[in-house]
Order: sequence, then C-alpha cells, then structure tokens
Amino acid sequence: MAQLEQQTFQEEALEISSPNEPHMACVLLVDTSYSMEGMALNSLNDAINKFKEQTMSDELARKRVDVAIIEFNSGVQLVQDFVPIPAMDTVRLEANGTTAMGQGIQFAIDKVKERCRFYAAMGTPCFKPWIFMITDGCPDDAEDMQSAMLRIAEEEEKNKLKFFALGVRHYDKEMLFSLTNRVIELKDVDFSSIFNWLSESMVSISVSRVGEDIMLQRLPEDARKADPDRDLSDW
Amino acid sequence: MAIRYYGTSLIGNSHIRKGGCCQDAHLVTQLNNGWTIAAIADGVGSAAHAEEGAQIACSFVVSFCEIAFPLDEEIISLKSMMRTAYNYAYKAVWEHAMSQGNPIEDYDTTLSIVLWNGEKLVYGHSGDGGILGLTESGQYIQITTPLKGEDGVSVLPLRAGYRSWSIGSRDERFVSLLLMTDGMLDIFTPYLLKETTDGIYHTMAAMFMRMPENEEELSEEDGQRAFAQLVSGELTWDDCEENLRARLAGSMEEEALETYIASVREEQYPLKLLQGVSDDRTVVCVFDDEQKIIESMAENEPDWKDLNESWRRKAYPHLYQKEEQDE
Repeated sequence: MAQLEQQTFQEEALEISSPNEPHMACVLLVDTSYSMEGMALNSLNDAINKFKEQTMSDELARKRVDVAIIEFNSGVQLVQDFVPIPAMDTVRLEANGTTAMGQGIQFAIDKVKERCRFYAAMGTPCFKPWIFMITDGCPDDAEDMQSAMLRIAEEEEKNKLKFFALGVRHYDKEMLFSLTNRVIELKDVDFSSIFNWLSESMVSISVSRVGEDIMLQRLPEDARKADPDRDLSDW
Repeated sequence: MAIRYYGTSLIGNSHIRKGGCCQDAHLVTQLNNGWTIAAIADGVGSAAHAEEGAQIACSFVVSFCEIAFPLDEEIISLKSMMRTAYNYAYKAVWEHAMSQGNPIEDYDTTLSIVLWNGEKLVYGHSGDGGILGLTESGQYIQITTPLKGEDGVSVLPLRAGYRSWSIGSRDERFVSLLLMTDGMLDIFTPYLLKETTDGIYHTMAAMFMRMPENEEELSEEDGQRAFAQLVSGELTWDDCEENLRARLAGSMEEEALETYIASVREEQYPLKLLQGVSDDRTVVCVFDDEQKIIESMAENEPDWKDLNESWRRKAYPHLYQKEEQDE
C-alpha cells in the first residue's frame, strides 16, 4: 500500500504562460508486487520523487504536464490522481502481493481517456498522453492482459496514446513486446537515469506544439531499447 | 454601402518544417448587386491531398453562389441555395477524387462561407474553423461553433454530409465579419474564456475586426499588406499597441484606453498567441467601412489568473478538497 506525504497546493502555480496553455496527461503505472521489494522499490521511490523536482524546474513542463500514479500488485490502486508536477505528493510505494498487470493497464487507459475527455470538454489543447509502465515480472491475470493488449493497440492505432514498458531484472520480454514496441530494458535496479530521461522527454514535449512530432533524447547508458531490430519509428 | 475585405492564407511552421505546403484556401468575390461572398477552407492535415480538396471546395462553393444567387435575395432562398452550393462543392471534391483514383478521404477539408450585403447575413459552416461577427453595438459574436466528432477532437469535414453542415442566418447588424481556420480560431476563443458571456478574446478580436478611423484612407494594397502581417504574427509589441490604439481610439476615453493597453502590455498575450500558431493560417475579414459602431463599450483585459484558477478547480478537484480539509 502506498503512503503519501501531504503537501499544500501551490498558489504560485496559477501563473500561466498562455491563455491557451496545452496540457499533457502522463500516467506512471508501477508494478509493486512482492518481487519489487527492497532495492528496486527504494530506487523507484527515490527516482519518482526526483522526477518531480527535476521536471518542475522547467517553466513550461511545470504548467503543462499532469501526472497520475497507479500501482498494481494483487489489485490496482490509484496512488495519485492527475496533478500538475509541483503538486505531486512524495511517494513511498510498498511491495506486496502478485502482479495484476492487465487490470493495471486497463485502469491506466481508462484514466488517460477520462482525462483527455475532460481536456476536450474544456476546449483545452492536449498533447498525446503517455503511459509509462515499470515492471519486473509476469502478469497473473491472463484474460485482463488480452483485453489490455487490444486496448493499447486500439488507442495507439487511433494515435491517442503512447505506451512505454520499462522492464527490470527478470521481466518477461516477449510479454512486454506483445503490448508495445516501446520496451526499454534497465541493466540493474537503479531508476535514476531512466527517470531523468522521462523528465527530459516531458520537457521536450512541453515546449513543442500540440500535434508536432518530437525527437526524444537518447536513452541513458544503463537503459536500452530491448530489441533494436523492432520497428522503432514511433519512439 | 462599401464592403471591403482582406484575406490571407499563410503556411504554418509545422508544414514548413516538414517541407509541405499551405493546405488552406480562401476566396472572396463581390457581386454587382452589392453582396459579398467570402469562403475559407482548411484541408485536413492527415489527408494526402488536403490542399486540393480545400481549393476545390472553396472555388466551387463560391462559383455556385455567384451563378445561382436568388433574385429575391430573401433569407429563405439564400439558405436554400447555400445548401445546394455545399452539396455542389462536396460533389466536386468527390468527382476529383474519383478522377484521380484516390479515396475521397484524401481530399478532406472544412468549408465556411458568408453571404453579406451589410444588412443580411447568411452563412454556411462545416468543420472546426469559425466565423465571428462584430455588431454595430460593439458586441462580438461567435456566429458558428467548431463542428467536431463524438470524441470532441476529430474534425467533421465537408464529407461528413448535409447533416453536419450548419447553414443559417443572423439578424444583427454587423460592422465586420471574420472567417478563420481552426489554428487562428483557437487564439480568438482561448479555452479559459469558454464560460464567459461570448467566449471571445476581445483584445485579439479588436485588432482584426474594429477598423481604424483612417481605414478609408488606406489603399487596398496597404490594407492587405498590414492585414497579412498581422495574421503572420511577424510584428513587434509596439506594432500591436499601435494597432490597438488606432482601432479603439474612437470608442474609448483616452485615459481608459491607455489603462487598458497597459494591462494588455503586462503579458502581451495577443502577440504571444499570434506567434504561437504553428498551423496554417487563413483569415478573411469583411467589413463595411461606412458602418460605425454606435455604442462604446469599455474593454478590459480578462483576469487570466482568475480564469486559470477556475479551470484548475475543475481539473484538480481533489487538490482543492485536500486544501479545504487541511484548513
């Protein structure tokens, strides 16, 4: 079960850079099954909290990126609903249970779609949303995984989602490739560099125009595309 | 009655970067009977031959209106003709697609048009562009609203058919009309103003739709050049200030005008918004240079912080609940 440290909503965040400020939804979808216990989860907690500090130092990313955190273990929990980066709570994710990855993915897609509907209803321009999943294991909800796979494909086909999967330690490479071509492999369980890359990516998107294709930064040295021979045209 | 017009279509940075072309089109023509016909079309970005679709739709809708303009000039006749003109333009795009052996989706385009003689106004609208009007009482009006698919994002092009075409008329007496494609409409109707009375950013609208008092002295070429520069956003803040001052000078007290301009100067949002448009830009302004605004209305720059706060309360209700609990 995750613990959050309460923080006050910053009044200074009311400053806008444009009356037509675009927004971007980003979901961090985190495997907190028992196998993540110890060094992996400690490093992940630190990396998420550092991600906040780093991303909010950019003026546009601070105003434009909305982050939600979802964890999955034996079930799925919304750790943090969508908030602007400066209002992210400090996380202390804890490991327990099994790996309901399929349910987690579906819940994350539901949240992203709900958010995009909100942006559309308010007339707010929005960048393509991201789901960034982190896992070290195999799912134990096969039926939900089938549905999750189809839903990712459907949303990506409609150009309405970018799904990334970050595999650590003994992750199931083929299973992740059945979800997306965007599979990143981490050499060990130090998440700091990859979250640094994620932060830089959020900044790059924030300074771009809605609908514009942007070139992402190179992955850090301790991470790599899990199969460079796959179609990587949509990274 | 002297109706004049300016119009321009400029390629956007997003197309320049990709080595593409401007996918918009516009066409204005004036009939001997005193009516002006102005049309704009925005080729849908994802369509392979969008620019051809936009050109064809624009030229065919206008040429049909020229040929079939009803002698009685009654609103009911004009609206009837407009519906047929839309169908004619749609059919022309379809026939062109067939002749090229391509699917009609490759030629998807929006289409908006006005028929105006200074007294009567009939419009047709398909897609996510827009038409704004400035009345003689100084009110800005969104004559059309963007027509989008069920997802609220995808555009409903001309191909969506007659059920998705909006054809209508307005009874107000207008001083000027502004037709624009979606990239430009977004900066005239920023979403933070969505729940205000008219949803229009008046400062921006004034820069395009109010005519300076010396407008009649301008040659057509000079007026057109200044208009194109304004649409391009390639101007300085001093240019913007001069523009605003010239357009509002007759309708506001000097002190109030200077206070207003000073408040706009703080963030310079009109300039930032103009410079931030990456899409193709098409704007046509049709104005009656003898018709004056008969009522003065004080203008104020919107309280953007307050409006942003209102948006955030809807976007992050859980954060506000937490704050209230903490208190």
